Amino acid sequence: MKLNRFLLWFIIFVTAGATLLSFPTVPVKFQIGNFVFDRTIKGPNFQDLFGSNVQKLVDIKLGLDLQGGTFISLKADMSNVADADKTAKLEATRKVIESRVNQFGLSETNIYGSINGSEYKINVELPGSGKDIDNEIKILQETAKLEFYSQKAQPEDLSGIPQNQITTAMVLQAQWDKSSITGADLKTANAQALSGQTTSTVTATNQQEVALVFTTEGAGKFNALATANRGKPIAIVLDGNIISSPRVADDFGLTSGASDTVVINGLTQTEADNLAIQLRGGALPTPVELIEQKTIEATLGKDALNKSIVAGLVGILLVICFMIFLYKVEGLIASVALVIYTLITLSLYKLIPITLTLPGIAGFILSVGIAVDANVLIFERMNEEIRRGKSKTQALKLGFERAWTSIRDSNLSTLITCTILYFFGAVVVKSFAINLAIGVLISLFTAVSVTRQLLLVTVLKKDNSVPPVKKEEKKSTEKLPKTKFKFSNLFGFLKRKNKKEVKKNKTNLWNYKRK
Amino acid sequence: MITLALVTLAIVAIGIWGLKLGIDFSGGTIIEYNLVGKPETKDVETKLQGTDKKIAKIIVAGDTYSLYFEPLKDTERDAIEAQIIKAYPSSKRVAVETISSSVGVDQSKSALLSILFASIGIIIFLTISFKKVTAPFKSWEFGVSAVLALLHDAIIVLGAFAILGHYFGAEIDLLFITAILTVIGFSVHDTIVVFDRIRENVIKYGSLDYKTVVNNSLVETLARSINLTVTTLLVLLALFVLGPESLRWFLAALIIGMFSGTYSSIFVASQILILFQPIKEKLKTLKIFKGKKKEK
Repeated sequence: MKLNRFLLWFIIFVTAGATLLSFPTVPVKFQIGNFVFDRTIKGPNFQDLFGSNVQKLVDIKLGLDLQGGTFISLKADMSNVADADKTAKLEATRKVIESRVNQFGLSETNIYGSINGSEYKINVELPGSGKDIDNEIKILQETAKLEFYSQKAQPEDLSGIPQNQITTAMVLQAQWDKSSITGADLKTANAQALSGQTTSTVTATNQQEVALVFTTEGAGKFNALATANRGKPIAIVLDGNIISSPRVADDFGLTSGASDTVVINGLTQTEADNLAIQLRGGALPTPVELIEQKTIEATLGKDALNKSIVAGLVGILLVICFMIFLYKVEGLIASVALVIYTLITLSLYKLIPITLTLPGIAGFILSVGIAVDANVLIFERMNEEIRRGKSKTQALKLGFERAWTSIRDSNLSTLITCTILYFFGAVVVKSFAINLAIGVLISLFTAVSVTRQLLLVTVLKKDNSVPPVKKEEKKSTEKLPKTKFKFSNLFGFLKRKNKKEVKKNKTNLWNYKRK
Repeated sequence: MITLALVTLAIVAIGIWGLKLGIDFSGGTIIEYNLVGKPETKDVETKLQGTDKKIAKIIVAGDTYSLYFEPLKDTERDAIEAQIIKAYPSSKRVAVETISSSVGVDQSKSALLSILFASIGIIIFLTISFKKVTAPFKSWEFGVSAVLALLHDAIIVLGAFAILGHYFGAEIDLLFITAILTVIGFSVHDTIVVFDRIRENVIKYGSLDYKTVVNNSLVETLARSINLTVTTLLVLLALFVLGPESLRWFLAALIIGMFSGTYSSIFVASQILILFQPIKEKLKTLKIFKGKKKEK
C-alpha cells in the first residue's frame, strides 16, 4: 500500500490543532535537592487571543460531580390532568420552575423536562451545594397557589369540634368565602423592610414584609373585595395556609384612591424572600414532589477530577512502556498514535461539547484500552505473517487487512452496547456511554489509519527485504486507487464491494510471489 | 469444569449474602459529612438517637462519614443535619443524596432491561456477521455462545460483589450496572476476536475436525488476548490506585469483569461452541432411530 501524503499531513494538522485545544492544565511541582520546580503547564489562553466566546467553546464542560453542584428531580403530579394536556402542563410547570431558578441569580443552571413512560419529571441542575441550595430547593417545590378569602356573612360554628381536629381547610370551608383573586392577578411581589405602622406581633426577626402589587384588573378585583369588606378581615391563603389576615380599614377606598398593593408583614427575611420569589414566578400548574437529589461539594469534585487526570496520565504512560517493550519500534509508533488519539478525543469533548462526568472519564479511559487493543491485534497479525516468512511491507499490509475484520466486529459490538446504554440508562450511564462511543469511533480512525501511515513512513524506509519484490509491489500499488482503498477499508462493512477489492489485492500478491 | 465450579460458587454467594443494593435501586438518603473529631461510629449513632429516623448504616471512608437512611423528606433531613452540627460543630457537609423508592424501582427495571437488550442485540449482531461461516457451525451458535460467555462474566462479577458487599460493604448502584454493561461489551469484544479467527480458519481449512480448528484458533489468539488484557488492566489499575475514591468499586467491578471476560472468551465461549456439535449429532441419531422404528 502506498503512503498517502495527503492523509499524513491531515493527521499532522489535526494533531497540532488538538494539542492546542486540549493541553491539560497540569500543575507540576517537584523538588530535586535544592531545585524546586513549581509551575502550571497550560495551553494557550484563548480568552486573550480570541475573546471569551471562543474560550467558552474551548473549555471543557464539567458535570456536576466534578465541579460540585446539585441535581434534583421533581415529579409532577399529573393525576388531575387529562392525557392530552400532560405535555403542555409539564412545559408550563417547567417554565415556572425556571423563572424561580432565574430569580436565584445563578449562572450555569439547567432545567429540563423528562418524560419517561407515565412519569413526568422536571430535572434541575444548580451549581453550588451549600445551605442556600437547600433553601432554594424548598422554594422550587411549593405550589404557591395564592388565594384571597373574605369572611362569610354567617360563618359556621366550629366550636363543637375539638381544637386539635380542626384543620385550616375546614376553617376556610366553614367560615370563609373564596374570592376570584388568584396569584395570576399579581403583577409582582416585592420583599421589603417593614413600612407603615408596627404592630405588637412584630419582633426583631419579623421585620420583613412582602408587598403584593396587583395588575390593573387584579387591583380592580381587590378593591371591589376590600370595599365590600370594610372593617372585616381578608384572609390571604398560600397553598391552603392562611399566611395573613389583615383587617380592611373602615375607611378603605373612601379617603385614599384605589389601592393596588397589599402588604403581608411579620415575616423573617428568608420567609419574605421565599414568598416573593414564589409569587413572582407564579403558581405551579401541577404540584411537584422531590424524588431525587444529589449534592456534591465543589471541593470533592475538584479532588476527584485531579486524581482522575493524574491516574489517566499514569495509565497511558504505563501502556506506552508496555507497548514499546513488547513491540519495540512498532510499539513506539502505536504509542504516538495513542497520544494523538487522546488529544483528538479530548478536543472533541470540548468542541461538541460533552459534559464530562466521573463515569465519563472512566469511559474515556476504557476506550484508550480498546484503542490499544486494535493496535495489538494488528501487530500480532503482522508478527504472525513475518513468522510465516513474508517481508515487513507485506506483513504490514496483510496484518492490517486480516486484523480489520476483528477490529471492525469487536468495536461494532462495543458501539451497540453503548447505544443500548445510552437509551436505557440514567444520566450518569449516558455520559459513560457517549464517551466510550466517541472513544471507540476515534480509535477506529487513529489505531488503523494513523498507525498505518506512521508505520509506512518508517517501515518502508527501513525495509531491506528482497528489492525486486519491493519495486514491483510499488508499481502494483500505484495502479490501485489510493484513497478509495483506505476509505472503503474504514467503511467496509457498509459496502460489499470491499471484499472483492481485498480479494483482488490478495491475488495480486500471489501472482508476484510466483514470479 | 472450573467454569461450572466458579459459576456455582457465584450463584451460591449471591444466594447466601444477597446483593447489597445501593440507594440507586432501593431508594434512600445518604448524608455525607466530614465529622470534626473523627468520632467512632457507635458514638455517632448514640449522638443522633434523638431523631425518629433510624440510621440504617454508617460507612467511613477516609474523613468522610456516610450516613444511610430510608428516603427522607427535606424537612426530616434538615432536622438530622441540624443534629449533626449540634453534636459535631463545624463539621462540613460533603454530599447529600436522596432517591425516593419509586425512582429506585424504576432504575432497577431499566438496568435489567438494558442488560437484556444488550444481550439480544449482540446475539443478533453476531448471527448476521457470522453468516458466511461454513458447516458444521451454524451462525447463530456463535451468537448464543458469546452471550452465554458474557452471562457467565456477569454472574461472576455479581457473585464477587455479593462477597465483597458482605465483607466490605460494596454496593450495587447505577455505576455498577454501567460496569457490568462495559464488561459485557468487552467480553463480547474479546470473544469476537477469537470467533473471528475460528471463522477465518474454518473458511480456509474447511471443517476438517472442527475441534482442531477451534483449538488452533485459540492458540493463535492467546498471545493477543493476554496482551490486550494486560494493557487495559494497566490503565484500570492506575485509575484504581491513583484515581478518586468514588470510582473504586466501579473499577473493581471492571477489573474482575475483564479477567473473567478474557477467561470466558478463551475457555468458555469456544467450549460451548464445540459442545453444540455432539448435541446436534445426538439429535440426528435420535431422528434416525425414530425413523427406523416407524418402518418396522
